[in-house]
Amino acid sequence: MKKLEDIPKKEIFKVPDDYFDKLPGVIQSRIAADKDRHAIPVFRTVLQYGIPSLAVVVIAVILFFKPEPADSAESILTSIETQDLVAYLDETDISTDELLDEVTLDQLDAEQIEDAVFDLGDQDLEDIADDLDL
Amino acid sequence: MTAPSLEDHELLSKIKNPETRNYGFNLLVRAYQQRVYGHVRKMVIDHEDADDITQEVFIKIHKSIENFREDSLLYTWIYRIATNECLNFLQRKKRRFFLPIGDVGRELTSKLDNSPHVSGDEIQLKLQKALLKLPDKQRVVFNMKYYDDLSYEEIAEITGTSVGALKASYHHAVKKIEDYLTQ
Repeated sequence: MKKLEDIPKKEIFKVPDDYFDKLPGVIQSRIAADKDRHAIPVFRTVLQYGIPSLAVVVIAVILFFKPEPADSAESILTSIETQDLVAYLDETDISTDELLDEVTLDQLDAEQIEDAVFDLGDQDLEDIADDLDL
Repeated sequence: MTAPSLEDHELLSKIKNPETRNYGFNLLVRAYQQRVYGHVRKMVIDHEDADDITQEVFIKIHKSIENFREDSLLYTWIYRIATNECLNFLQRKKRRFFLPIGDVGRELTSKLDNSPHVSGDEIQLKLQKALLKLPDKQRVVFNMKYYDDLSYEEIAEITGTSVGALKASYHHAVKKIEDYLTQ
């Protein structure tokens, strides 16, 4: 049997020239690069969570201090009773043509008016004719 | 447990001082790189793999040296990190390619035959091939005892195995190697 102690101990693995001269520098570079790589996520975390949080705070502040909006013409009109409006229009000097000039009707408005006319019953038509003295 | 040598103590002092940390760590790498590389290379055979693992070992040392307790020897601590890296590397290799132990051994044997960075006569190569027949843990113990001349107590500290178990493992390994060399 071949005995292990008969075999001389010998290092058979070789390394490229200057390998051990360069290795400390390679390791130091990798450690430095690793530090940089860990620095980026900190910055990224700030961007990822800091900016949205800041945006939420800014929006909340804006909404909290936002002044009450002035009432629009439409909201004022909706608060007036229809009878008062009709009475005002009866008494005013504004002609029907002048009123129509002030109103801009789009396609949707026209369709709604058309539907409303279509749905009018006979009694409604008679009432309108009476109002207009036809 | 053995106290660290004066040289290691000075190295550690330099590393733990923020002003001399880089210089101290550079000295540590220079002091231990050949032992770490040699230990790793014997386990993974291929120079490129050994180079990668050696770098990883020192990066891990750099990350955790602040936590190193000086009640054990610095080099046994370094050996432990290097040993774990080697065993993990070989384990990953087996898992990645679903290889049985024998196939990894064959792959490493093939590297032994074809690597430009391997020299030695026929009996040396045959000894290395015999080692590749051993389980990884038994091989790492054999390498530390036979090539690095570490005592069983030191190997026990590195591997966390009892001295008795290590002695049995080593003698069993020697028996298997001699059987292989006789074939």
